[in-house]
Amino acid sequence: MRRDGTKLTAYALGELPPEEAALVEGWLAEEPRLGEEVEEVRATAALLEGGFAEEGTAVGLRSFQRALIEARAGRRRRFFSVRVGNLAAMAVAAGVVAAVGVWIGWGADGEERSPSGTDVESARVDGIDFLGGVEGMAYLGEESGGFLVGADEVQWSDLDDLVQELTRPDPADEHIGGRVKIIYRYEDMGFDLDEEVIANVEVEGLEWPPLAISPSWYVPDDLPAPGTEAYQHLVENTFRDPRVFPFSTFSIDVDSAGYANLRRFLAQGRLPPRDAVRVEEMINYFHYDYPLPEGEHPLAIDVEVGACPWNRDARLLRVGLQGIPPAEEGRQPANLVFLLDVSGSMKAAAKLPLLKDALRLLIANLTEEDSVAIVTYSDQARVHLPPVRGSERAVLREAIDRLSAHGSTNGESGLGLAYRLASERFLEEGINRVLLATDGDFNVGASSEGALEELIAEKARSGVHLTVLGFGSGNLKDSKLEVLSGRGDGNYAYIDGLREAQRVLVDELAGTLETIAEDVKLQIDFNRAQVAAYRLIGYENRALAAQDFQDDQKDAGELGAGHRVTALYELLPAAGGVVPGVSPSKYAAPEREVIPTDGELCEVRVRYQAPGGSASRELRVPVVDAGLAFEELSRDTRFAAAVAAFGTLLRGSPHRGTADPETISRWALEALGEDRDGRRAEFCDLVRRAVELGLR
Amino acid sequence: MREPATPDDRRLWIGAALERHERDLVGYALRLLDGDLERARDVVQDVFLRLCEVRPRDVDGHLRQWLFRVTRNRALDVRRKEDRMTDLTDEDAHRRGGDPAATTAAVDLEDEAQSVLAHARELPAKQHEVLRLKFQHGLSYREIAGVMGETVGTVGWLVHAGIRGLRERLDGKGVPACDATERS
Repeated sequence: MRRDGTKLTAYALGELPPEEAALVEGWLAEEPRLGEEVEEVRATAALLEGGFAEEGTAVGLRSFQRALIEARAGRRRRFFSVRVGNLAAMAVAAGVVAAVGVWIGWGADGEERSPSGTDVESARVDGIDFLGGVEGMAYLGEESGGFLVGADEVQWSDLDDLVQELTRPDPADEHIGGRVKIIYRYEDMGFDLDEEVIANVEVEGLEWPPLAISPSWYVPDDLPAPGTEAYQHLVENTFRDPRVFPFSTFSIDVDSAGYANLRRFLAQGRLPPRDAVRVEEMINYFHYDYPLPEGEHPLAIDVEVGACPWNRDARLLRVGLQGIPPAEEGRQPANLVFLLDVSGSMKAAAKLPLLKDALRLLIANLTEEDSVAIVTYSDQARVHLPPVRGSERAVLREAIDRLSAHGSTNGESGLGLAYRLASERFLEEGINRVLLATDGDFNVGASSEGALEELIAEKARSGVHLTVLGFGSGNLKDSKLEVLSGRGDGNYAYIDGLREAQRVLVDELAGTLETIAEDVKLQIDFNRAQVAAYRLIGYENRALAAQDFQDDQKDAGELGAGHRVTALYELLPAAGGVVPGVSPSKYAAPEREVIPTDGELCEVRVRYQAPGGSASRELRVPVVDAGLAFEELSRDTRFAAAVAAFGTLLRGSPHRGTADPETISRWALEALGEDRDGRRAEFCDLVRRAVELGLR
Repeated sequence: MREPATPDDRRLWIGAALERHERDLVGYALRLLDGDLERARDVVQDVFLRLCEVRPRDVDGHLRQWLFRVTRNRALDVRRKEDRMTDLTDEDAHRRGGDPAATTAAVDLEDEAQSVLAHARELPAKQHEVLRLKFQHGLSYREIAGVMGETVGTVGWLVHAGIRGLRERLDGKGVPACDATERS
């Protein structure tokens, strides 16, 4: 008979069932030598047990971990099941409502699960109100272009706190399915934790490929409670008399966060609060073809004057500033440190999942020359990914996948850490930038907000700039984010969807990262012989005093490679122009002889510093009104005028003149031009949407 | 086991499970994660949070096995990711299980218990793992099979081969090429 060593060992360790043990005992009786072997096994086993016991690795969890588990254990749970039926009808463009049956069943803890057949509301394909009673949505990752789908799996969870995310279907597979990540939230226990359960999802009958991505795919969060979104109150610029105020001075602003934010409001079905409307950011969202700089300056001024379409007594002055495009051979190498807010509030689909997709877009455009690190912060800041080369896509991708949101917010510690990493990798000849992504309140730690801003400003002087990417809504502290980025000589973008992420982090990456001019200020010197009054449209929070123009200590905005800035003025000509409601002080502006200037309307001045340089440089361009009608103006100027008018309406401004949504649409449509990126067409949609929401 | 019906009952149930298994699981995860204590704790925390979502009756009678299995799966998931990371960050030295220098040093140790551990670390990873599950954590063959997703027969063979390998090392017979030979 074959005497099996394995069986003998099992016998020695008492692992054999009785009948087999009896068999081995038979062997032992026959062959006493085997007894020694049994003893040897037992001796070795004892040695091992002793060795392992002495190892002294009896370490447990940390106390907070145990507390967390115990708290979770005591929580009453409900389970539910969600089934999403035929989603074929989802392959509909233009926001058609598709019927999606969602069955939900639930019961108290310990009851038998019995998915009932409760139909929940239908889902709207354009991304709003999906899944009705079940909070949240599912969306597909970047491979599939992003679209909505639901889950089909029974899981234990808290129905109230469910957020779903569907990732990575196999595009080659006709059968559309994917994994659903269900994230539980436990916020009522003082901490905020997420857990992910992966469920398999199969959806039948969905047409492939799914819809093209549209900006509203990311379902907006709940509407913010009144007062939680902070917008700086803006007092709209009004007409000024050049006899009293000959100069109009402001810092440039290439942020376009305001436009994306506006789009979010409209997608949510609301008109934006007035103070959230930043006309200059709306105007600067669009691409305009201005002549490229030639010669010594990295930027060029382009000006146009014509009839003002909403006020027949006025002229419209459009001032454009164009930065040199990124070098042909590509941008400079970049040292990027992402500082990501992963606090619990970032869980919503429009936040962390979108941020992750945005980062996935970005990494495709990085090279070996670049260095990327990720710092995350919630309760604590930690280095999520130590600096790696931009070409290490797999590492980066994995690090992005690994991001999840939980905990509270302690932004300050993260900022310090991010700056430290950025300084360690400082590129003398390159871009050094911290990119902060957050949904809002950038909590300060122990020290004050002022100290935080000081830190940011100091780092900016040392060459590490700050870009702020705003996500989501709910407690968006818009003004604060803009201030922070401003202190860091940086830019601020509000990311409301993948399209915007694509624009900021891919299409205009070089401009986002690479600064060609710092502290860029614009000043218009109006000729009072020609202009009775002028009104700068927007830029309210960018205004500078006239003397600040020359003051190189005075911070101003920076211009990225290929970026452009547009400002519009409404002018009342001196001939017959009267400043509405004001007669100038007879003391403020003594009448003086006006120097003959061949009908010059004004002079446009730009002052800037080369990056890293200290000496300021200036450009000046005189402006003459050639008497063009509105229709004779360039498409770009006409389109910008339409956008400005729309902003004016949204702000409920008294300066709207004869503009109404219909005429604005017409101006915009007539100025669509090539519209390579589709933004102008989208603008027309937004105007229409605003009308539906009651804009008059 | 009685179904814990109230939150208090559940808390007691989970508390007892923590009390009983927490340290073992951390120790096990620690081994699977090359001694990274914080990761091991994270893994075990996850395991217990997962347990909170499970109905007691679903794990009744095999709770320990369930805990070890989930720990193992979680830890290996984490490791797979980490390995990808370390591969690319040029830290592979740290991942090579058997450090020859350490082994030589360990053999010199008088303390037999210490040297048995050092030898155990030289064994093929799966043998090392079953020995730990068996002799450190006291799991039965059947439970180990459940944890590792192997058959009971395979586990028996792994334990046997592991013990033989150890004996040979302890007896100074050097490293055997293969442990598959049967004694008759």
